[in-house]
Amino acid sequence: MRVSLRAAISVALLVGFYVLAFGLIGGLLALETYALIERPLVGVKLALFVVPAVYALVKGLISLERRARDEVPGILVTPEEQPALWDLVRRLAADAGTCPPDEIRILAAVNAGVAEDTRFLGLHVLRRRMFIGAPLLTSLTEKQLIAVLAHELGHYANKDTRLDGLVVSGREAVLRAGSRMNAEKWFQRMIAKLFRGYAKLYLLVSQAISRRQEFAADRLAATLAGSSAAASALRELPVIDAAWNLFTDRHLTVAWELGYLPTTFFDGFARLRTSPELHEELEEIRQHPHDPDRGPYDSHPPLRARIAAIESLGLEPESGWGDRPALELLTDPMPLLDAAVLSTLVSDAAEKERVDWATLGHIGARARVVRGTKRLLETSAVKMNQRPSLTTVLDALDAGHLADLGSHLPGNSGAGARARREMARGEVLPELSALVALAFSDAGLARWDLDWLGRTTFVTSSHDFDMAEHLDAAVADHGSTEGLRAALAVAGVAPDYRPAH
Amino acid sequence: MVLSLLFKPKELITVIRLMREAKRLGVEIDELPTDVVASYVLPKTHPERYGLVPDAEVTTTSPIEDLALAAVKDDVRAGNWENAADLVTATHGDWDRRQRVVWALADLAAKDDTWMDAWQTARPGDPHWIVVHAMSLVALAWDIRGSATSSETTREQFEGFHRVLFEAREAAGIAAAVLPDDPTPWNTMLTLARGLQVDHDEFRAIWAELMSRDPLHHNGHAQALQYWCRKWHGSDEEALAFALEAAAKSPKFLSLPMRAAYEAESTSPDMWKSPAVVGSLDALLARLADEGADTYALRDDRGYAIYALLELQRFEEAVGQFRALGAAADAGPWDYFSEPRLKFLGLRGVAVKAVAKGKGVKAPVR
Repeated sequence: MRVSLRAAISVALLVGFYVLAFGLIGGLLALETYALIERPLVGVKLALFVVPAVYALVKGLISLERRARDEVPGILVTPEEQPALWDLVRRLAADAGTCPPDEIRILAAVNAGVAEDTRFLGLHVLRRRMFIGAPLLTSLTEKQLIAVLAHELGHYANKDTRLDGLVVSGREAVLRAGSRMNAEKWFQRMIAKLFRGYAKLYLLVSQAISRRQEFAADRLAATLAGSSAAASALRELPVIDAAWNLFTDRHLTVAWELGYLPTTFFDGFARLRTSPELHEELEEIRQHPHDPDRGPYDSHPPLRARIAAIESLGLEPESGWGDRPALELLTDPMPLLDAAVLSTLVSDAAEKERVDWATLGHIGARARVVRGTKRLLETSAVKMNQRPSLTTVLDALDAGHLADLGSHLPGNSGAGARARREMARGEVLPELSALVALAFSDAGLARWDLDWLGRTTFVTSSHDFDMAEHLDAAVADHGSTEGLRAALAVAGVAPDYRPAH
Repeated sequence: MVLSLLFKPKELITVIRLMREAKRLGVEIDELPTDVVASYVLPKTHPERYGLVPDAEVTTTSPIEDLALAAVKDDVRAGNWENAADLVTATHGDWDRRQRVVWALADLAAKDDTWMDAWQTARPGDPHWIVVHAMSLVALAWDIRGSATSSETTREQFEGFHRVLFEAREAAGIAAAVLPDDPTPWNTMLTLARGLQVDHDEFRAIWAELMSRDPLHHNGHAQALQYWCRKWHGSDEEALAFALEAAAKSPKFLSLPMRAAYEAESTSPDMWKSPAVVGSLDALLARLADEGADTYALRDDRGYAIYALLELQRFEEAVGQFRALGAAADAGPWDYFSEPRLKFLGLRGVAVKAVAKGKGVKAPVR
């Protein structure tokens, strides 16, 4: 089937969506009116069915029309604030043969895109917005960024088949169909099913168009940025994505949960991306790019196929684009990018204490260690009927309660007290050594370093911190906590030390 | 499981009867008492017609074999360690017995080591103490790990298992240094080699140390055979080769090829019929003809012989071995099963029934 024919069918299907819904509403209402006039009693009974059905249909239609009035994400940048970026986007739009966006917004996500507010399933466009992910701006070169943005604009630049642009907006709208339905109500569930069935048909018919559009958009990207920059941008996206996930999961989220945030975000992200501990992992992703999971109805062809197609074009870049970092397109970039991150965090971001990255690493690691000592402190406190503290733990050990301080059971149900005590030793020793490390750290004698992979190292300036023998002695059979207590006293740790949270 | 029962009408009827019985007693089917299950599942035979003890008399409790050992075990349970310590010391030189004594006491020490502490305090530096201590750490490690599959064993259990096995190896090393003639610490190292996943070369080195001290160490051969099994660090072929070599060395080890075949049952079922295994079986039967069933080792040998005889459909000879075992269902291979007594009675029933119907190979006239 020719693509233009497919496009025409797609548009007919889009229109059919409305015909289907309005037809059903009209038919049901006509039936109801007829029944009320001819057989009023039946009409009343029938209304029990018709009214909810019509209600559900209308609700479904509204969900198509009215996109949730969500706040548009990202930080808006005006041409006055960022002239170089706007100039670039306008020039790309002109080269692509499409209108420039009405807005540019910076997001805290590894993503870029052009989206439109539309009416009537994309048949009428209200506003075009371009979104650019802040991590892309800090990680790509100018040419790579051009490739990414040109690709997105390329989706709206179909000079040959004008209907194709409509197909894209149509896809977005159709995927929303029935999203507002209440799945617990039978009627709404049925109508949602009907809409979704229709949507699937539409997606199926338009699939080929969408794939062709992806390749066409890639071709435009390669024409403007050159094949090598366009291909390298595609290779770079999964790398940035992995780094960004690590950055948010192991650093921002951890800090956030403890009530902290870094004073600045993107200097940390830049250091993470170039850190030696991550080099190998990121290079592996760069050499073997995998497709991110974009859901079942995604229209993108596999990443490797796209890279191969772009490379086979062998296009040279248009003159005038530079190899400088994309960041140089921005005036005073750091406050803008950090603001993009802050805007994604929920409103109480202001309540978080802002500290530098090194402090944040120590705080995160310390909190993890504190969690790991909780069980031992509490079990000892119960056993000794004292306040939970380091001394209480040591007292419990001296009183011969080691076996009762453990929580894990041996595998053999017939095992004796000795096996329980042995298992407790394996559990208590690392917890006790964590507690002692905390005591040293809180006394200012040691700290934890967090590397960018999220691994911690214990750093101490005190050469007295060789506690291994004392710790072993504290949990040994016929052992003693005497050595440990003495070492702690020399270091100046208070006997009733207990980690604060 | 349920579906496959449909194709086995006899078993289906048994299961239905068991379900009915469970309902009558108000319990789940797998909570039924063993003897109740036995009465439904076991073949209906007349053991007494073949000179066998009645089902009800069969027991897993071992008759007392070593009076002195039984006495010191009671002493230890009562908190008295002296006689136990003296017995261990006295067994130096009688290596197989020493192994049995050390193993039995180590098992007790793995549950509760208060008496071991008392022994150590009263006789500091007693080399025999370390021998028992090393072995008790192996038993302790297995108590911590349990016998569940690795997926059902927790990380903490594995960590404890390995940590204690390393301690056991260290202790066995000290014991071997202070009692240079004693094969027992080397056998301890051989035993823990499986859990520590010792490689073949290192294992052979330990084996050489053991062999230089007691070339016919009974338990050592059993431990090494386990190591060479497929489920541990060898293969069906390596296990059989080891077993045949041992059997050629001494009639004491004639049952080892049967054990190798038993371990290989699921992967090499034909091993039972291999001429080498059948040859060992016949030699073992000839040896057993002059021996009773007074020791655990003898009952163990007879048990594995029975298993082989049933595999080879030599039912009459199997009944003969059951006759020799009498009421004792305490040794291998029954002790591999969660219900050793049921396994014993089940196989005995199979043998008797086959003989009653005149099936299988008749016993040769000796």
